Amino acid sequence: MDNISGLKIEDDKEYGQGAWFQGRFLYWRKNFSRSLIAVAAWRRRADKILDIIVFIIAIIGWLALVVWLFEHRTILAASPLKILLFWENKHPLILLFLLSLWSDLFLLYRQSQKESAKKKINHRYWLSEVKNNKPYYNIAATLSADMEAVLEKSFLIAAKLKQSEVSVMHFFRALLTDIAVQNAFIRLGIDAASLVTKIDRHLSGPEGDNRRPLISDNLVAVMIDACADAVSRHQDSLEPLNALAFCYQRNEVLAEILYDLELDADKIDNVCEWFHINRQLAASYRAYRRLAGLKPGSGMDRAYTAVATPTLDHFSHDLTLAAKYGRLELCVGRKAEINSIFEAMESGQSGILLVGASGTGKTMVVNGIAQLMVEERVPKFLQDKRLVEIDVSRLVSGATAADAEERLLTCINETARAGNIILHIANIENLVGISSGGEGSLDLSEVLAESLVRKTIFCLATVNSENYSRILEKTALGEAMTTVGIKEPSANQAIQMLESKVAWFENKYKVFITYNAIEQAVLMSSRYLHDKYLPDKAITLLQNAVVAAAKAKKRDPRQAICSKEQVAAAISEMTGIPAQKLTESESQKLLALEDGIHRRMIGQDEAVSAVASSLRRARAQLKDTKRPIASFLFLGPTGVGKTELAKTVSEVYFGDENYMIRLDMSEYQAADSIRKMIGDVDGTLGYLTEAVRKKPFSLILLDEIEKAHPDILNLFLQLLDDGRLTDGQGRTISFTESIIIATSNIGAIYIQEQIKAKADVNIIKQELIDNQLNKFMRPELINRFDGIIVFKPLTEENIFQIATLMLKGMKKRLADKGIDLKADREGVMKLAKAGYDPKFGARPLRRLLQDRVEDGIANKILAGELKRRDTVVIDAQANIGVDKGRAL
Amino acid sequence: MAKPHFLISAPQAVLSFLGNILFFPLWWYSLGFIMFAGRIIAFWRGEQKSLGFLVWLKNIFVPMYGQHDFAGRIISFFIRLIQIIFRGLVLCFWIAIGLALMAAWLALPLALIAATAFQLLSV
Repeated sequence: MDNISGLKIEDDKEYGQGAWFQGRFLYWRKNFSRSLIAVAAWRRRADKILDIIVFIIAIIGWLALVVWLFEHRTILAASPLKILLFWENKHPLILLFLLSLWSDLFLLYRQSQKESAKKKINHRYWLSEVKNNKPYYNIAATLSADMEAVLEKSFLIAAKLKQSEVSVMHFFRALLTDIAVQNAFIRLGIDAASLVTKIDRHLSGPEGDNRRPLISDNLVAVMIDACADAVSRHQDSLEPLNALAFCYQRNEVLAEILYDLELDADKIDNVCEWFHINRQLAASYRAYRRLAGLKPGSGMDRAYTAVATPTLDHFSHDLTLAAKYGRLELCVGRKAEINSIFEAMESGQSGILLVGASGTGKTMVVNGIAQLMVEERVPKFLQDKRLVEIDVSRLVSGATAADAEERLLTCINETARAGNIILHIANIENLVGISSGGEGSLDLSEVLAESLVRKTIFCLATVNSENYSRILEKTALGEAMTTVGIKEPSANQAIQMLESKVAWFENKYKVFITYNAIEQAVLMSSRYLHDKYLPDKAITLLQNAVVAAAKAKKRDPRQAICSKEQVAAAISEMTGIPAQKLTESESQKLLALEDGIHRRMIGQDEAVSAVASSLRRARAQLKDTKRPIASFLFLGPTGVGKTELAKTVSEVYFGDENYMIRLDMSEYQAADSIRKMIGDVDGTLGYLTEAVRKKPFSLILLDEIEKAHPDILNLFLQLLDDGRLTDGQGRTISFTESIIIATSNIGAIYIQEQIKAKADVNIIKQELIDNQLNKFMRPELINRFDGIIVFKPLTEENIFQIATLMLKGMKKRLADKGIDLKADREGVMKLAKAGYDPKFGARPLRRLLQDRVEDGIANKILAGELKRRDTVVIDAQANIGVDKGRAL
Repeated sequence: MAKPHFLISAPQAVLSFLGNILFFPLWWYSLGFIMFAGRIIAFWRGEQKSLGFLVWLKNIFVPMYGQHDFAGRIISFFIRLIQIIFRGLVLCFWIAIGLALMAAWLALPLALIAATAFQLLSV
């Protein structure tokens, strides 16, 4: 259930506060006092003692009988029939047994009373028409024993604190003592003790003068909502869990406390839903098993009017039979789709086609129908029928097309004659295109289409959306069938579908699954697995995580929990995204962004802080998740660190420099290079789209963007705006997890001149946008970037720092060979000066270091002058020398 | 709201506790019997459905296995007749068992009293 919302509370003159629900006025009337609670407790205790006494008497009686039988074993062995007439023997033991039989009968009576005491909500009343004179309903009569106990506890808590009212907070504190509620919080991974401490701090309010606090209006409202919830769930009584989901709505402080523990409305609702689902699954499973026992186990209908179908039986398997013996998984949350299938069938459609992306649960819907058919909870024309799945691969295997057609025709004929069969064909598109040869001959799908048009058989088929539009839509078969769409469930629906599977997983792998694991499985799979669909991808992900947890448990039995960390690890295994990056909170990463970048990037302080703050801005703007994480245009002369900054951002943000997809836009100058980028219909894969499809979590670097063809620039217009592209095969590729950085040399000379003239960077940027960029790019594209960042030419000081950084890298590489490197500051300065060229930035420096330092070292190593434990020394003249290490 | 008082509520609780015990014999012959009979009837229904007795009866003239020719109809009729008789017998057996159980429910307290009295008469 999405969005549980409270009922509207009104005031009634006679009954006080209440709310209208399904034509009845729900109100609250129940007295609480310490004495009443004490009396009720005595009564419960007396009942319990009575039950124990009666039970003991019953046991003693049976023991007496056994003793008597033992004493008379010789006589009884001679004539065993005498056992039946044991009561004719006058014996104190027999008398004792006879008297104790009363207590057996009495226990039956007590048991039945307990059963009926559990049924507090009369659903016949709720299903019947409202009688005008009695629309008032006291919800206090619907409380379960557990709920009564919780309310009594909350009253006692309030009374002890001398409060004038029993508030929602008191009630919530008492709720935390209920086992079902405690279990819910365990699933949520909440430390109950800390929650209790927090709640306890907020329990006191205005003190009352008497010691009989009244139930507060807000608490009555909670009870009313909870009662409506229990009624609509067809529960027998109002349970503590019903109230849990409503407490935070009626108390702001409580909502804040829960929010601090990262518990929002959705989480609490979904966990409550989980417990309800489990209870319903257990109940419906029991009912299902009972009804399944009544379904015929043979291929015949009950009246034996059906005709045997040997050929069909050979090429198919019976889904109703599989359902009867419990071999199909239970179908959850697909009522709407199943009903629309029934409606389509009832309106006289003989072919129903379930169309949906793969993984959305088409097979589960078919299973659900098979189960309903077993229970006979289906429209009349489906009752006493079989759902039979044709195995297409078996139908066509080892046969020529003509044979296959013959087989299919026989199956269809048998189905038509039998009259008790609904055909199911999974992936029906496989039938298209198998034809017996000669021109004008029908293919298999047309054979089937013909019988569907003649309405001689019923057929329920599935096809995934892609194949439907590509293969089936225009064929005779596609036209002969009515489509029913199976949509991808929403996140909350998917969470609830997963919850229904948890018991099975837990049982199989003996691992405890937390709610956060389920939630993360749904959220992460929808975030990172773009070409698959819910709920299947979330189920696969959760299963992988559970299997990993089960393996960990074998190593260390204490780790029998599948939490969101396991799910993160599982998705990182599936996608290659570093797991720690998934769990580490993004805000932490963003706050320390500048430091992270400056660890490997020298200078360009303004550019770095512009990128960092732009990334923060882009992510703090919570509304737009349909765009890339951020997009930048880097402007500046060559060699000033544009690409280096992109690499650094990739390393800091994604955890590795390799999460960068680099495109040299000079390779995309022709109009037809668009195919190279996004692929085409013939099956050529696009370089960009394929890379992002495989690694959605990455930085895309578009080098020298101004050189690309205008058509390609238009492509980026859409990409930056919608965060997606459609590739040549028609797949939608999502860029919402990517950072996009374009670089350009436009106006490089202008920037150098202006910086030399000490102009303001903002003015330079504006001038570039207004007068230089617009010659190559359309203004709307320029505007789409989150930030346009101007890189300044490097100063001598920058170059010195870069040289130091590069030498540090070299020192690290040499350390692998056991060689040390020491450099004189003067020498490095000299190198930096020699490598400095304002026109080319840091590039000449790299070349210089290669020529003068690396080459020198390499020569010395080859000549055997430089060995392990030696130290390379760069002196003040920037010459290379060797300090010999000590000999061993 | 009337003030609930200990002196009223305590005797009420004692009375309801005793009343609950005293209600037992009445329950046995009223609600208890209805509940028990209901379970037996549900069992009969299930048996009937799983035997398909009424379905066979309804289809007595409908040929089996789609054999609509004359011979098929004749054979069908007799086979169905045999089936109906056989299934009817099974159903009768279950009905008899159920009725016996119901009778036992009603007779049990009386039989207990009788047996106890017999035991007590001259021990």
